[in-house]
Amino acid sequence: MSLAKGVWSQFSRRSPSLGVSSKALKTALLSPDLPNGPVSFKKRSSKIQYQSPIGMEQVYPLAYEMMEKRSEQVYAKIDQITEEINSAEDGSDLKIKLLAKKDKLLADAEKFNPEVLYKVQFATNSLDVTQPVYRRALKEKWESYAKMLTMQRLETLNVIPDTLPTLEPEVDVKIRFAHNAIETYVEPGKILSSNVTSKPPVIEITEFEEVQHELYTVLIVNPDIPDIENDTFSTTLHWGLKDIPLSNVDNVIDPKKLLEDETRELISYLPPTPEKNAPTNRLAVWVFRQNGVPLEKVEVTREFFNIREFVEQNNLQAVGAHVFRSTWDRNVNRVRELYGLPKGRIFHRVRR
Amino acid sequence: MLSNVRTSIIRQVDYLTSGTQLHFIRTKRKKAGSDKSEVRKLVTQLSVLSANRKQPKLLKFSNEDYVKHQVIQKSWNLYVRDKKAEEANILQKQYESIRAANEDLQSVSKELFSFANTREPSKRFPLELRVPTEYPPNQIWHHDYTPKVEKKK
Repeated sequence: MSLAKGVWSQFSRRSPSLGVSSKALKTALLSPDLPNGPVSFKKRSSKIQYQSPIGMEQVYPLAYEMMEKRSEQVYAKIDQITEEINSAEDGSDLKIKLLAKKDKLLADAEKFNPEVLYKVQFATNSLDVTQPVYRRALKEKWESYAKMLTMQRLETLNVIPDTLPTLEPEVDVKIRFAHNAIETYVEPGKILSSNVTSKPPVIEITEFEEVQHELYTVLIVNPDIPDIENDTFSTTLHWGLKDIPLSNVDNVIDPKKLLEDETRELISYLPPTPEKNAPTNRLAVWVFRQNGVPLEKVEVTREFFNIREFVEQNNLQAVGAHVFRSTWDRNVNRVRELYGLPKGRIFHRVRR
Repeated sequence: MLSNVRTSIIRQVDYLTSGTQLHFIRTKRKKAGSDKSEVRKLVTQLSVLSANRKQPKLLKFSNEDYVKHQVIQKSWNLYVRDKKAEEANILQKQYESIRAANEDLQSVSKELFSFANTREPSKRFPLELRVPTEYPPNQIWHHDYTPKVEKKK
């Protein structure tokens, strides 16, 4: 017997991703009790052993009905707002405000749908990011840990303010190097082997607002190249990408995306090859949103790159960042050979 | 695969007192300090137990039941919130109507208004009058109360 009789059982106007696809799981979530035992348990013996809390069977249908009714009220409000949106002018402030309100209500309407709750907590790998409720869940998860971690690493490693003055993060930036078969994202601030960083990374940019066709610029800069003549360090541009179209669903910058249009690569990838005995290099990945305006006639220099000037000239808005580090190791010479770079320098305690 | 929830509703007392044969049953109130030894025993036992064991027992949920638990919790919170809001609304309306009536009175008859609003600092709430409660005691008041007469030695 299924509890769903109202709006949460209708998928004609709601996305099918707002329900669980597994039939057994659906039965478990939409019945007062667990007719076939808990689906999440694998072992038959654990299934038999498990008992639901006393009284849940009686209370859950009432709670479900109440929450579903509330959701119906929210959907009625959404219908009203949709009418207002249709009558509003395109691009007006009112329309933008109404659209934001509609997104918020759509997320509210589904927040306590048991099927959505289950997916948000236990099936996070396959969330449909076109739905506001899932985007909000992802944002909450990001803000609770990854965002703070990234900011802490950027600040303690002085990427802020050595490269750009500050950052108000709006997107989640994840990077991955294709050095082995295991797909793991790099933790911000980690020191990576130069073997790992010898090939360009794959960058994943997660937006939490609705984004259809937005353009992004990505720069990887290294502010730790020794500049002996001026007795200081200089910034080198390791990789520059521009006008990369991304959306909520298609959010990965990988070789395939770059091969579609070769002008997207401002400057080709140069792997970090730190000098022996020189300080650990920080490689800051900066992501900029272009607000739909393509960059025109951009020229960049690899060495002595001034990122602040570049950002100001092109009117860019930094929305996300990442950082990884690289230090001299025994793979550096091999990487230098691979890219046809000259032999590295060796630094000493006393300058020679 | 279990999701744990610590509840404040369920209190496990029986395992704490299993050694002392103490039962928590609502009975006639005893005089304070009459069962001193048992209380002392219980206090000693509690001091020996670690704080972790004195906490309410964890409810172990399967994922499906954890989700159901969250829905129940949320709906209960909303239900209580709505009820409180409704009560507050009624009180607000009552206050407004009292205020309106008072203002009417002031415009109609100043004399009556001042009479209705004079402070009576010496007048206290009569002790004989009980505040109405939802759960009145079985014996409302001691109708046959006579003060104890101390015997003179």
